[in-house]
Amino acid sequence: MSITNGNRFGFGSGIRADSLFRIVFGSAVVVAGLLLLGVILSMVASSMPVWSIQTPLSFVFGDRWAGEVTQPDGSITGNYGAVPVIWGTAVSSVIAILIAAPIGILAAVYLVEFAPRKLAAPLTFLVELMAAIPSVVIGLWAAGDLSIRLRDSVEWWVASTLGRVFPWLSEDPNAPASQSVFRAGMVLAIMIIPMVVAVSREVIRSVPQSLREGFIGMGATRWETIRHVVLPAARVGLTGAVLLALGRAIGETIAVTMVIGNAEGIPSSLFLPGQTIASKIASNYGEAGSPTQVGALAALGICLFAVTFLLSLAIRLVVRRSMRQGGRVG
Amino acid sequence: MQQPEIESKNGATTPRVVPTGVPAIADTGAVSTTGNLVLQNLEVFYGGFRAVNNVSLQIESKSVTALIGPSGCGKSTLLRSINRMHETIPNATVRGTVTLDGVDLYGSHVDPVRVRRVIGMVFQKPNPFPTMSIFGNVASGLRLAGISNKGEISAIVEDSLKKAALWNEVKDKLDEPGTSLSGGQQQRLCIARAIAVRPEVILMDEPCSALDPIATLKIEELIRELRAEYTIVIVTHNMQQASRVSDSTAFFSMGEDRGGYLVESGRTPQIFTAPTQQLTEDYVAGRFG
Repeated sequence: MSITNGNRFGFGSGIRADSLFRIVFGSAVVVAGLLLLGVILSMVASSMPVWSIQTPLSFVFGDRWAGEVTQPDGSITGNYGAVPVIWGTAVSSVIAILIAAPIGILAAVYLVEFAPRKLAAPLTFLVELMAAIPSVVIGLWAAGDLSIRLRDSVEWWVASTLGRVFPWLSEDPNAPASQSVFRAGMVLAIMIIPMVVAVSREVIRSVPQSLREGFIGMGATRWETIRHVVLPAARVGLTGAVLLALGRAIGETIAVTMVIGNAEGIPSSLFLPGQTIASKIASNYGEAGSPTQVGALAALGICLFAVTFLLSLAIRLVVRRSMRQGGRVG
Repeated sequence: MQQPEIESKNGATTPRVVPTGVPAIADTGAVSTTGNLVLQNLEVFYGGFRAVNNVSLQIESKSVTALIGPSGCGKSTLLRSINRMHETIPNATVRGTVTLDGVDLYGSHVDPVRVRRVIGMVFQKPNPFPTMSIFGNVASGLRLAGISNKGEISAIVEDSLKKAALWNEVKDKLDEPGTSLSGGQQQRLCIARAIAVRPEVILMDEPCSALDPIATLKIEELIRELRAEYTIVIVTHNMQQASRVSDSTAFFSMGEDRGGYLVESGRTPQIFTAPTQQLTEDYVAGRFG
């Protein structure tokens, strides 16, 4: 082969292989993007019938899911309001986060800062196992045994103390509800704790050891180092962990549907049944007959998607900020 | 002058106070006689591995002692055993004694947290606390020591930054994050942070290895100035640095069992020009290491 022959350096075939792979990998991205677009478009299309009987504003701010009536002339009138389910989603998720964030972060601090190596590995594995429990299994456990136990312990205790002052924490002692918004929040907390632990653990582990040593070297105890150096340095990442878990809680469907009671309207107390966006869609879809009914549920789906989309946008902003901060170190 | 209170009575934890045996800010000129370190038959282990072998060494008060030797010979490990930092690594243990002015730092009544307040440390890579301002970094140790008087803290921060030759560069931006400074400035900030709590000994673990030559020179100049007030022990890979900044030098090497041991120690000029051991001569002449 002569030097003037380009094949001596093998070009041609290498470039062809590269462009082939570029097309393969590129089309995978295009498929994923098209799927997302397809979901959004089909949701919007399915929701269209409901906009013939009401406006998006009256949907989002309507406080009653009244349903629809077919008039003698064949036209449909009705009103669907999303406020009660948005309320249920928000309240159950906030309860879940209030319980799961402190427990999860404290557990992560223990795993990284205190647990001996021999204990940390099996404990971490256990937490990961907990995350792997299918939500329907948790729902089954929660709807049966756990729900009643929570009602007769935590709920009963709160209702008979705080409930005397705040009506939204009260219950009828003679006929406590068998399902409630509060219990949905507790079940969500159980489901998202592993996620908070796992992400927080990574965040805390990524705080440079040199910072811990610097503070310990100045005469700080372990606890002072965690409080004044490790947690502040991890603050942004921990916020991200909590937001990620919040996203999971907002979208969680099956376990919530099994314990929340699926009652219409905003309940007067957290210890009464309610509904979330996701549980409403799951429990009503099977019975939705008319295009407007399906449309109303699709519109709820759009609301849920919008909320989780905004949340992941917030997480991206938080993570970008934390990376900028990290870049300044050293 | 009083002994620093690192030993608590009957093993009970004593309330935290600033080490009292050290000169107050206004107290200039008075030459303290404290800060004498003595290592005796010191051995440091990581689990079953002996990283430092039977080291006995006297470290003179108010002077700079350089620990030199090839990589892996246990210099840093030895340094970290002086303020009990190595204990933060699981399974790390020590045999032998380290005494500071007659107090056994490994005695059963000694709180390692208090040891580290009397024996400060500067690390290889500058490590300012990223969530604290320049001021906050220097003040952090004072707050740990329980000082809450704002005026007092400000005075000590200013004084420490001046001693660390950083004040003029940062006095107008004390509220900016410590991590906004250049590498050399960050290291001087870490030195200011260490001296703010009025230690008697400052340990430096290759403090210039991450810095450029000009920043290195500034730190070396600073080390020579700080010698008047503090006992300084510095680990360095840079033999020119050792000869420039130190009064005494201890040369370490690695034994057949991979544990480090002390080959010889002495006045720096003597170690560099007339060592008694062939190994030392080969090392300082650059023939290995």
